[in-house]
Formats: sequence, structure tokens, C-alpha cells
Amino acid sequence: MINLTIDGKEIEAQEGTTVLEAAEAAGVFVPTLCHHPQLTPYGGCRLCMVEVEGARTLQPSCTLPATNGMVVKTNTQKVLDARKFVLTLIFSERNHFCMYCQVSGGDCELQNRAYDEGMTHWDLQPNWQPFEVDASHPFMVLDNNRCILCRRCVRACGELVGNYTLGFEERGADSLLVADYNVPFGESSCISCGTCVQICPTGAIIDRQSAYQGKETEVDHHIGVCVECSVGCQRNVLTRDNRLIRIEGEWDAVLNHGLLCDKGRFLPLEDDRARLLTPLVRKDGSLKAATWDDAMKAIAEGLGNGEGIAAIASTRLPIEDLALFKSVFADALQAGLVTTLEEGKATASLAKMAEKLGKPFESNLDVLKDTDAVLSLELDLVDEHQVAGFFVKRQLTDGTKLIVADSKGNKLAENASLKLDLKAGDENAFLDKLHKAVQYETGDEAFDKAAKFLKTAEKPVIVYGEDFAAHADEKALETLLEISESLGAALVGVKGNANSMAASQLGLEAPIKVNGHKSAFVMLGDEEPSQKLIKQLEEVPFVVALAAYGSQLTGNADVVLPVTMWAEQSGTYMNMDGRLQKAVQALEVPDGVLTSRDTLLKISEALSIEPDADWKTKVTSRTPTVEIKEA
Amino acid sequence: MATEVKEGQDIRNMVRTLVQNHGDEKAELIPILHEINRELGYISDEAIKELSKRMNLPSSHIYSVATFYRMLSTEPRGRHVIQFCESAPCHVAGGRLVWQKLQRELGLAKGETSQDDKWTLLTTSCLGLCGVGPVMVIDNDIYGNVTPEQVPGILKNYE
Repeated sequence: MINLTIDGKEIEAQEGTTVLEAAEAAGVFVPTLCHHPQLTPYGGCRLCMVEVEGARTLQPSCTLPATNGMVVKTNTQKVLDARKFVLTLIFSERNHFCMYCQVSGGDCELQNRAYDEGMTHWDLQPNWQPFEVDASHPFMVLDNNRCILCRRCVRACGELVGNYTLGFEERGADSLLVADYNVPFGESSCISCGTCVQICPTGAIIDRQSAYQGKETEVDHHIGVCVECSVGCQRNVLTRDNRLIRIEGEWDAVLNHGLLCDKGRFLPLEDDRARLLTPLVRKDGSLKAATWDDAMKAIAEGLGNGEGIAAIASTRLPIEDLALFKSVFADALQAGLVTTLEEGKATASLAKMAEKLGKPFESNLDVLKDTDAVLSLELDLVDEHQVAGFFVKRQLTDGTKLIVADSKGNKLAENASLKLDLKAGDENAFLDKLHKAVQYETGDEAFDKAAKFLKTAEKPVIVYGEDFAAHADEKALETLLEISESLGAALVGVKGNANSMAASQLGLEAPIKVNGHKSAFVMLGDEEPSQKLIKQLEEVPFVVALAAYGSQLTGNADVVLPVTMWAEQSGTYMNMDGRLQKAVQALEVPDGVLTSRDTLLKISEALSIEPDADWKTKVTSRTPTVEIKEA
Repeated sequence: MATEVKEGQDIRNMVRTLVQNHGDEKAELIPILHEINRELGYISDEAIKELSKRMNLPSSHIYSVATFYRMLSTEPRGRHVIQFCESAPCHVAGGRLVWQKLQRELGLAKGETSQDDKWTLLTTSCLGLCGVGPVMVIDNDIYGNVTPEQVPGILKNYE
């Protein structure tokens, strides 16, 4: 610990902290612009200048390490003058005429800092040179006229996301924010994660979907877990007048620290599927609007019980819904098939292995954030579970080795140090070969090289996905465990949908085999059914579908019940590393619509059954593949 | 300055050879960009793409470096590149009149390349030759104490 004085306050700080961090910890506000807590200190804007006793000039507090005995002043006239001067230079550099700007009036850090300093105008002649606006991107607009050259976006794109799309052209006053080698933003290597738009302190990068729709203070914030995949990022859903405005990553989240992917941030607002708002019952061959009571009657008549029922639920639904679903169909109705749309593909083999071992064998996702060698088995982290992919990609320029084993088109492989061919079904042979290469030189150049990368690494990680889990048998997994043990490598199993692991814990992972079933109950929530499932259900005489959106499946069904979509319901989710996190309701439930949970309760009432609503003990009673944690 | 136009495979081969000769250490980026600039007369998108692959560096990063330095160009240039010093000492020594004469003589404005690809006219910041200002550099030849009257004669030296 070191001791320093800031504005007369005696402060104790950890060695290695900056003066800015020490000041913030002591409750002293120092204005910043280019600084961001998630990024490496940069020292670009000079707004955070402070006076340090003994130093000849003002010092940037964001990059200055705090030292023992340091005496810092943050509010002397010299400092205040410098701040105003820095802001004046920034304002006069480009078009910072606030009244025309999307973020003006509370959301602009530049404007806010100027107000903090009591600025009403600036004394320098503005630069009238206009720059072209790049509106080629589907989700973002890049406006260099509003840019203050803080490079937060460029740093975030590289340091946090590992995508390195954004960069700067030229220098000084000619500096322009560009994508790749100055290609239109919409045609660049951008993956639309939106981190840049979230981190931009001004209106230089604007979110198209939410522009001019509501400032931070005018919207409602709903912080909860993202339900688009099993990574389990924390996000903030912004609404206004019961309308989705924007989705942002939570900077304070331990897991994703602000990051989201396009699926979590932009695509949920693009959903244009036809919404179901009233129950539908098939009468005389066609689906007709009906009351909930009519629908319940139809279900009581048509569903039956026992072996003849096939019950299938979406793993995008909360654990509460899944547990209730299991209680209704497996326990009360003794249905012949009780499973999920995911069919346990990403989990079943692994869950069995955990049960056999009697203990978890997988590590937390965090190991991917600090590793020097990653072996990825049949998994494309650029395409799915993207944020986990960001953790890996951003380390590659620091020399982290990435070995991608796959045989399909794999976008992660474009960044790989080494590619290995792994075909579905060849898992055993592949792992045997790798196991040997880990023990001795086999003469197979690629495998020996992979083994060398992993053996020389201090923190190796082996990560695998649904395709691997679906094909690997017990022997393959045993070999994998042996390899991981001899390498000291952490294992990370990337699951499927948001509640993939919870479904596995509930034992909902049987393959869907429709075989003479008399009725089917499909709890889709807002998930889009696969063509395969639609085909399979065609031969079932009576189909009940719980769905938020119309689809071919609901069109073929006999009873359709309108349920909530992700933003209209709350509940618990278990992500791929066993974290229990809450999703919160952001929008009101439309009239005539129920949550899947309430629909299940209504059906139970109609069928005179009493399901057990407890989920906590049920979801933790089975040995998990990775330790379950309360978030 | 520029040699014949190379494309596609030629550029990729050239970049590959350069990376082999220099090594793929990050510190070699500027020397390699210099050589590409010398060979092609500029640094093409194709070259940046290939270099990005060979050196495991993001193309945005390479582009930023290539545009940062005035001696590198990402736009095709003429066979001869004129760099005229725009800094204060050359200006005070009468540089403005020389600059005006240059523009008139070539029919080019700052940053332009002539239609026959013979000339590219650029300005540069101080070259450190203030003692003999006004200064201009054509390709690798340095001209000091330039007067407007000398301009046509100097330009005649180049084919």
C-alpha cells in the first residue's frame, strides 16, 4: 500500500493504481473523456490534468501511477484553466454544435464536461471543414464531424473485442475514424457487436435503431441476463413508453464487462415476426380465434395422458418454466417424451460424464480471458457464443496460440495459429492421436505442433461446443479428460441456448423421436421452430403450441396459446458455467397473452393436476458438469 | 519513382518475399511499408490485405500506419513525386512564390497527380534543410534556395 494526498485528503492506495483511480476511490471527481475503466489508460485528451507537487507541468492523472508521498491537487486555478483550454480546443476542432446532435442534452460526455466547467461558449474560431458521414452500416452511423479523436472505439474494437476493424487514418487535424483500410463501415470486417457505439463519448458513432428516440434519463432501464445464448452476458434493456429503444452491455458485469454481440444487442430489435395475441383453436379444419377457456377445454379433451404425449420446450425459457413443464408432463401426466428443442445435444454426453465422475470437471468461462493456448473442438466462437470468442480473439495479438479443430467452415479458424481436421464422428481417433502427441513425438507434424503449443502453455484451455458434445461418446470424453489432466488444461463446455445447462440439470435432454404419439405439447416461447421439428410433428394428431410468434408450426397446430416473448417475462437462467442469473421483464405483457409459466398453471388447473413449482432443488440435485453458482 | 503497375498475385508475392526477408516482427512494419511504397509507388489495398495476413496484424492497424507518415501513400502517385516544404522558414524565405509557380507550371493543386501520371505534387512539413530554404524534394533529389525562375528548368530534368 502507498499513501498519497489528493486535495488535502490522506489516501491509501494499492501500488500500481493511477492517480485517477486513487482520486475516484477517495471520492474526488476528475473529469475525463478518452479514459474508460474497461480500457488501458491512454492519456489522449488531457482533460484529466492535475497538479502534482514537484512536477514541472500538469500531469495526466489517468496514466500517472500513484506513488508514495505524492501530493496531488485537482482543483487549483491552473488545473481549471487547463481543463477549459482542453475543452475549447476539442470544441473548436470539428462540428460540435450541440443543438443538432443526437446525444445532446445529457448523453454526451463532451457536453456534460463542458457544463461541469461552467462553459457557455468557446473562444476559438471553429473549424468549418465538413467530413463525410458514413451511413453504410445497418446498425450504426459513423460521423467524423462529432469525433473528438479519443480513440475509445478503436481501442475497444481491438482490446475488448479483438476485431480490430476500426482505426485512424492520417494524423493531427486530418485524423479520420475509418474501418479496415478505409472501406465503408457497412462493408468492413465489422461484426456489429456495437461496443464502439456504446463506448463513444459523443455522437460520432450513433445507434440507428435508437437515435433520437430517448435520452438516458428519458428511458427505463432493465438490467438482467441476455437470453440469446449460454454465455449469459448482463445487459441493460432500455425502454420508453413500453417500447424497446436500445440494448446495452453492462460495464459492471463480471463476466462480459459491457460486451455484447449483434444477437444480444441489435437483432432483438429487428424481430418482425407476426405476433400471436389471441388463443387459436382448430375448428372444422381451420384455426379460429378462441377464448382462453375454449382453448383450455380443447386441451383437456385432446391432450390425453401417459405415454402418448410428446412434450417439448424451448431452452430459451426461464428455469421456473422448464421445471414446471417437467413437473406437469413428466411427473403428473407421465408423458412418453419430455424434452427440449435442443434435445440435450450440447449437454447430454457431458452430464453423463459428470455423473460418472461424481463431480464437475469443467472450468468457468473466465479461464478463456487469460490463456496462452486454446484448443477449440468443433466450435465456431465467431458465429455463436460470440462474446466468449471475443475473450479469445483479443489475446491473439499477445501471442496466445489458437488451435482450431473442425472440418466445417469455421470463422474462428481465420485467426488460428494452427488448424486441425476434425470430422464429426472422428472424435475418438482425433483425441487418441492428440493424446499420443501430448505424450511423445508422433511424427504427425500438425498434432505434434498442437501438443507443443498446449504443453508449453502455462494456462492452456480446451473448449468445445454442441457439435463435439453431440458426437463424443464416453470413451472420447475419457480421453479428453486424460489429455486435460496431463496438460493441466482447463475444460470449457460451450452449451447451447440460454438455459441449455438448466435443462440438462432437469434431465430434459432426450432426443426427439416422434413415434406414434397421440398428442404433442410444444412450449416454443419466442423460439423459431426448426423445419425438422415441424416435419416430425406433422404426423401427430393433436398438437398444442405455446408461442409468441406465428410460424409454420403454429399454423399446423390444433391449439395455439399466445405467450410472452423474452422482454415480457422474468425468470432465472443458468449459463454455460453454471451461473444462476435473473432475466428481468422490460415490457408489459400484452392483453390476452400469458407467460409460459402462467399458461402451464392454467392448463394444470384445467387438467386438475397440481404441479410442483419448486425449481431450485431440482436444478441442483444432479451432479453438474461445472459448479453451479448463485450470481 | 514508381515502377510498372503490379497487380494481384505479383503484389502478394512481393509482400510475401518482403516479410520473409524482414521477418514478421511488428517493428518491421514500417521498413516493409517503405519497400512496398518504393516498389509500387504506393501501398495498395491488396498489399495491406496480404501484409495483414503475413504479419498477423489487423489491416486497420497497417492502414493507420501507412496513412500516418507522409512519405508513405495509400493512393497511386505519379512517376515523380514533388514534395514542397510548407513550414515557416521556407515560407519566410519566399516559398510561397515558388509554390505558386510550381502549381501553375504543372497545372496541379496540392495532393494532385497529373493525368499522364508523370507528376504528383505534395507538400511536406519541415525537412530540416531550413538553411537553404525554400526547399523541395523531387523523388530523392533535394533542391535548395529555389527561386520561381528555376522551377521550369528543374522540372525539365525529369522524364
